Amino acid sequence: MRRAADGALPLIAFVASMALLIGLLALLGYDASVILTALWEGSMGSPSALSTSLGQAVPIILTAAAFWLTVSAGVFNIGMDGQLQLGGLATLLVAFALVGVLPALLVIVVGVAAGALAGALWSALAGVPKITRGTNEIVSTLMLNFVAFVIVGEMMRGALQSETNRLTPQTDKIDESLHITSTIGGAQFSWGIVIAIAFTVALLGIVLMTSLGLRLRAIGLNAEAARHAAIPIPRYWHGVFLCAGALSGIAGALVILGLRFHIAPGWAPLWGFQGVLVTFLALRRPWLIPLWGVLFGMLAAAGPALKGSASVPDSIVTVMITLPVIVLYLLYALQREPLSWLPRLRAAGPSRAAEAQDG
Amino acid sequence: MDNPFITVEYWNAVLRIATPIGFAALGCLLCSRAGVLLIGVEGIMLGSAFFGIAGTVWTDSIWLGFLIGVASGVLISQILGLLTMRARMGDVVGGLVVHIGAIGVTGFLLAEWFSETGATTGGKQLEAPWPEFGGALVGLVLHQQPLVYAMIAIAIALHLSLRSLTGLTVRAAGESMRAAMALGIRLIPLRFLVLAVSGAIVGCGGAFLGVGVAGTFGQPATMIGGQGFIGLACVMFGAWRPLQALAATMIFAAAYALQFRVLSDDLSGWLQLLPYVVVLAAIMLRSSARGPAEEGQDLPEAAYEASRRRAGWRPARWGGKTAVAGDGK
Repeated sequence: MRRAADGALPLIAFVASMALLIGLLALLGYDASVILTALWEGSMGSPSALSTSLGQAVPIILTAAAFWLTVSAGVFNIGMDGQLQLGGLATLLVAFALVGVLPALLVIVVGVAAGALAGALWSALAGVPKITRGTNEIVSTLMLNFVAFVIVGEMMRGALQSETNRLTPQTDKIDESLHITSTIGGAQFSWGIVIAIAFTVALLGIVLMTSLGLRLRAIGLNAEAARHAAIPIPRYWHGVFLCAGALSGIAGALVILGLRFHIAPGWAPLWGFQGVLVTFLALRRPWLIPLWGVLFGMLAAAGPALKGSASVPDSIVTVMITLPVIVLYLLYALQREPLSWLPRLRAAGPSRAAEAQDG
Repeated sequence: MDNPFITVEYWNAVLRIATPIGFAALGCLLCSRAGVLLIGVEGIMLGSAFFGIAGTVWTDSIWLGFLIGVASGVLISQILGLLTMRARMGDVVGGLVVHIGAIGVTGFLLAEWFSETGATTGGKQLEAPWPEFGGALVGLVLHQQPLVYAMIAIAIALHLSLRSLTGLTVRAAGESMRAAMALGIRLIPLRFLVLAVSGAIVGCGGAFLGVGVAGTFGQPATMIGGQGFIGLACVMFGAWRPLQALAATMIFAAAYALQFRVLSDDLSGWLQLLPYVVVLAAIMLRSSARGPAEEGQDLPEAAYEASRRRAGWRPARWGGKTAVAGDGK
């Protein structure tokens, strides 16, 4: 019963909050049916919409996997966005440097590896002080995000500014031979989604099904107990920071190779934060991370359609992905203590005496 | 080129930049001392910046708008309290959800009430209402925006009140929740109260950033630009002491203001890195300071138990008639 509810509650929360939001929008004078049509059309109504959905899902799935890994081990690395952007930058540099020198497939592999390395190193920059000196990793990863954004932005405006298009800040596109896309039904589908799910499933398998993963989760559940069980926490945490950074870096690499092909303003919206929300929704059912990632990718892809055909401000998408988490935790709270939300309704005679005694 | 550090304009800019960060730091500090890690600080700042500007547009008065901004900061802090404590998200999850949610909600309301491109106060300023006198140097000290003095006053008030009996109560909740409960401190109401006060302080920072510094509200995702988290870092660098945290704020603001001094240079873009790098170096190198022992930890079950008992709640699922301890019968 409880286990079934664990699986169903996030879905209930999602449906309930979508219904709530669309109801609110209807009250504000928007046409609910137009909104629903726009959501459908924008996310999977056409091959190109579907390819955008899946393309956006790639970084969300990978950053969610990265965040879930750190949460499982009891640390909060929320620097996925910075790691992703630097990973993308590294991949772009490799693509520019090696195209034509090596076979395309090898350039792609090296590019993804470079992205992973960049992400891992950036993550270690927060991880090492956390482990050796106890620096709060939440604050340091957030600060490193801003540093990464400035670095990528300045590279885009400066050293990497496209020669052919000088009007707007952007880099050149990578060579077409490096695109990891296939054309199906007139739309370019990125193979990134397959790679992302493969990495995520591998990670989930390691963390949930091996003794290594068990020790890792033991740290997250009770670090003190894990220490007494002779688990070398610092070594595990170093590994966690490196792996999480690498996953985010790979996300950046796949975005460059399969979705954006170059760096321009707004090329990477805050996917990392969407990954955070996916993790919270999937915390009790981590195998569902890829599915939630695809769902969030669909919502992200539907943003322009919402703004275009339903003329709803596309910030509503951010609300649409935040509200389910809130509703979910409220449902958990209700499940735990059915009426604590309405405490006064139950206040009966004897409790007054208790109150007097307390006071 | 003159030395940019010794001009009055530079230090005026530093004070102006330090004020939102300082308010954020003081709000985070109060929360920290009560055991609450205020990850939602940027969400509160964003909300109060937005409602500060919206209030200014609605009421046509910049001070009324500012007050609306502060009030919304209190409101968001209470929502944060509900999420972290009542929905038991914990400080980090609840803070992140409020942070992301605030970006979405302010973005939506901005487009709904104003326009996609942004709202503006129309050049109104929170200037000091008294006349300028003396030279520029006197003005640097005595003719700042009133909120600069408010920030310093709040820092001193916090410094003193943390030493009072009330302050001891607050600090007890941060150092050891169980010990505090044993003393009869009601943790949940205390935390809500502390969040409200912190929400007002952080809200001052957010509203000041909106109506006093920026004057416009454009992109919610970049509006605060990490200043709330820099405030959080100031608390750590300032060893959880209000006056030291304020001093830390000045250091970071000095790094922040530099990018506006060197405008025409090629360097100015890269100078954006400076505040973040300084903050990172500061919190990574300073390891001697220790925060409140139970900062950011979840409330013990006993705290919920006590609150249920006071509300007359009984565990219906386990029989319904079980007398709760303390019922007296």
